[in-house]
Amino acid sequence: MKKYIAVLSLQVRSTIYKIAGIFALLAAAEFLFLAVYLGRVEEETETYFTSLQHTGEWERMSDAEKEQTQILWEIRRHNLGRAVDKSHAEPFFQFGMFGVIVVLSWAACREKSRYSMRRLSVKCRTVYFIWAVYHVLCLLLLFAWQLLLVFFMDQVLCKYSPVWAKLPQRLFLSFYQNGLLHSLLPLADIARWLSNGFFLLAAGLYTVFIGYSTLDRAAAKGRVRIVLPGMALGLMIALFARDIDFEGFQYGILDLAVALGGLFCIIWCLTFMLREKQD
Amino acid sequence: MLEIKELVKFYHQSTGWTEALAGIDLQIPQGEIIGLFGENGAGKTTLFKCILNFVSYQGTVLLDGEKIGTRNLHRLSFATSEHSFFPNMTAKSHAEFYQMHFPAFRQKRFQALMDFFELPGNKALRSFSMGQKNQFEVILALSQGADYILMDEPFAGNDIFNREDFYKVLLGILEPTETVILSTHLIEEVENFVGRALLLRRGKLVGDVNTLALEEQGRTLVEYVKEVYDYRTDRVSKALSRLSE
Repeated sequence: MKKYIAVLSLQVRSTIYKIAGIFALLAAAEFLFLAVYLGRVEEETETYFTSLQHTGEWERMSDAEKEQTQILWEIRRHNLGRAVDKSHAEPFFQFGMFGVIVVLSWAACREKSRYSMRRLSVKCRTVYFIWAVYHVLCLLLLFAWQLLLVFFMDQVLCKYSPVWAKLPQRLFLSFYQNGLLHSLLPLADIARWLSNGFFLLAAGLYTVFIGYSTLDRAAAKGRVRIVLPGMALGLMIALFARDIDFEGFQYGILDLAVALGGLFCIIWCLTFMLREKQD
Repeated sequence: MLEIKELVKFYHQSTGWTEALAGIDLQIPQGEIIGLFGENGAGKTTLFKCILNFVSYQGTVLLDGEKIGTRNLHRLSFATSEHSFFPNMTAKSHAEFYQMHFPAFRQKRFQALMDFFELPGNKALRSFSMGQKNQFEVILALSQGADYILMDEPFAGNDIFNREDFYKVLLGILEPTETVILSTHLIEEVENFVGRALLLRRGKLVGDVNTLALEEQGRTLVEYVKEVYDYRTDRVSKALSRLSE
């Protein structure tokens, strides 16, 4: 068991700080934009209600209407989905995924250490499969980190808006309405859970497949064959935060595309890794 | 005993197939210090790679009658100037890592050699100088606890004092069952340290001699190598005279 932990530690040692750096950058970027957005909302609120008073519309409203207008404004401005959009969480998360995948792939490329790798008491292929599991865990951790950031955002919004804080189903609705949130936690959407599973497995395998393919320096073909599954993975990252399938067809196609891309990537990587031995 | 029978290796290049090893037959018992010599491209590194099963080949390589694979690969260690260690790890972490994979790892020898070369134990290897990296590669190969230690140009980039001292240390620390196969161009330097010399030329074993026997004949290893390689003493003067014409 010790030797398996030792080979795992090789990869952990080379990636853990870089991945932590990406996590920190992700949080900093999203909260910076959130702070800017919340500052703007304050101004917008003042301008909106001042303009209502100037036009005399505010005076014409009944107390119930005034209260309703205030609540609607609050909910429209201080809701989690909007905050997630305004903090640019979607592109930042996609960059984060890309960054983590690059870090993991880079660390799996042990071209220089290949002679040592091949002399270990654990088979090379086993080493790479152990690393694949670690890579999937890293990406899962990124998902969990993003979810944590979203929950923090919600807490910030609750402080800013007592109306938002009082809504009992605010999180549930946000996770159904926002593409990124729904993809991170798809609730009862089985298709999204499946495509997420395929994505994680494909990314985990692909990141080690790159390393495994470059283990044999002479195999120039190894570099060519990583392009196609890489493109499939790129497509999956680009479509990750797709919206939920309310229309019943359009987004279902995207779910299918992502699942098929993942399946293709998994089969491609496994075929080569199981067929060729680098030990 | 390491037995190599009819070892043939072809490489595919853009110009076609090149024969890197052309039917090598060799027996290497335990407890020898062997020098492997040959000009660039003679097949020295390829021979090592075949022994270690890193490349496919035709012929047989047996270690005590068994093919080399995961089960007995730990009995061979390899020091290469290509630096096949893990650059993000420190020397100490390497020792811990090797201990887990090679049960016969010689911690005491590792520490003694680290002290001898004055290498830092807590610095990541990527920050080592070229010479230090070479030294560390050799330390790992010698400390692995292998019966056969293959060294491919291990001291490229090291000064002569370091090299000479190292040869002496090597003679002092090796146990009678350990075999070192040292591939190098520095024939004169290792002449007094190797007991047997193997000469490769264009993928063929063209010389296999016991250095003691040479000594008894009153010949040096360099003379023997020149003789086997059909070295023309007038080569330089001819070239110079042609240039001055």
